[in-house]
Amino acid sequence: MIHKFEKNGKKVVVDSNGGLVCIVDDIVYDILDFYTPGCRKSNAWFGVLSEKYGNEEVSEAFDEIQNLVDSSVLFCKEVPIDNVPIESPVKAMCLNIAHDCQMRCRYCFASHGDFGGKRSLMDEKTAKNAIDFLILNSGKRKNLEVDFFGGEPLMNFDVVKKTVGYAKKSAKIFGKNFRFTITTNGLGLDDEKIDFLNKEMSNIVMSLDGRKSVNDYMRVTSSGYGTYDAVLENFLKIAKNRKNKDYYIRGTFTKKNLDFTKDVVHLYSLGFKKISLEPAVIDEKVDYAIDFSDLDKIKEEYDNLAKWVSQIKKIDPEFVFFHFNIDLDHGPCLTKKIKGCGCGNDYISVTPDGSIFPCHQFVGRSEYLMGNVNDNYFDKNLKSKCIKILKDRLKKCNLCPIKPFCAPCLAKSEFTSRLGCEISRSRVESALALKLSSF
Amino acid sequence: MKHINVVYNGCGECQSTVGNQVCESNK
Repeated sequence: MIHKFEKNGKKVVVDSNGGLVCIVDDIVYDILDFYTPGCRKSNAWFGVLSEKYGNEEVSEAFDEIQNLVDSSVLFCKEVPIDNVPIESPVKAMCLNIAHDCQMRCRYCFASHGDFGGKRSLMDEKTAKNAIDFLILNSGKRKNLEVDFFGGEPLMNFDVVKKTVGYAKKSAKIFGKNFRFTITTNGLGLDDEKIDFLNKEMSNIVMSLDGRKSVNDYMRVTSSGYGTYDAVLENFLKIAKNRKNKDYYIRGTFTKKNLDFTKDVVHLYSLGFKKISLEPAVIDEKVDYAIDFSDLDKIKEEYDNLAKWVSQIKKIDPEFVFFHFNIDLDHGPCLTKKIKGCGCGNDYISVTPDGSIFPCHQFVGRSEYLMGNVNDNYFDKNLKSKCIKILKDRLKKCNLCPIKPFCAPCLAKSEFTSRLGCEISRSRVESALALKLSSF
Repeated sequence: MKHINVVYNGCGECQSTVGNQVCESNK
């Protein structure tokens, strides 16, 4: 299967099974409306196109297509999913160290931090048991990951520190390598915490939506006040001191700011060079929920953003927009692409009481409770269920034109509509156009 | 080629849009 589209004056063809990306001229673009492997120049459409472009030109273009088909890089056969080993040891853990938060962001998927349950903080014993569980279930994997998440993880900073210390000590004993990350709203930051995070975290994700008016409409305290002014100074302090370590300013856009390029531009103007801005995942019928009527505007806005990023990268190569970061040369292997995020397979989420869920999006849904780190119980049947959901989803993805550059999110498979897929598709097309802008 | 410009043609150790991940063995 192939996918073709036009952006920024370029005609792009992608092989949806093999990942080939090429820029073609008008003749090839038109031929591919009719071409199927095995067809011949005697087909009626060949004559029609020859009248338009000339027989010799169409014949040359046909032969070039045929060469790529013969080389098995265009109209590739699909890879049978069942041939790819999907089941894996656990290697990544989202540690919900706090089911509490000082903010009441309108779009929060975690019910303002408590995930629909009671507000609670993880104790040191459960956190250590979670590290032990991860090591015990990691098989031969050497690189393990712990993401401190919530709620707001800095509300439980003492346990964060002790968990990092315990994991590093355990890593030496068991020959593992831990990579720590954290997602924070910034309200609890001070110099002591900033120094610790900059030293220990491989990546720090800082939540800020962009322009002050946009941020302060959505991201408010429990008293209803905007939070932009309260977090900005400390976020900038972190970004300036990260040196060669990763950070992302992570914003969310809604129906209220479909002109989100302005938010990326604003964040960059403040001094942030690594930016991730995502559509809010909202199922409810609220006035800021994105729906299908917004899709054309979102596509247009991703194109606007790609054009702006193209200009900025010429003067500032350090700038990164997370979802335009497609690496076609050194990207993930086939197994990784098929396994995706590894939800419920090599990636799990642990709540303050030690409960295990397939990922942070599934937390609180009792039918997906996989076990508990405090009694070291792990339901392998639910792991198999997650793998089955993934395989079912991959069958649905099979006809998707951008599948080489995307991976299915199991939570989306279970809970949301095709809107997320359509947004991903427009984002990938804009990202590819950006990659091709120098050709 | 004149009409087509080809621009681009399981160890589990990589970091957990998968398309923007980089293979650990290619770093």
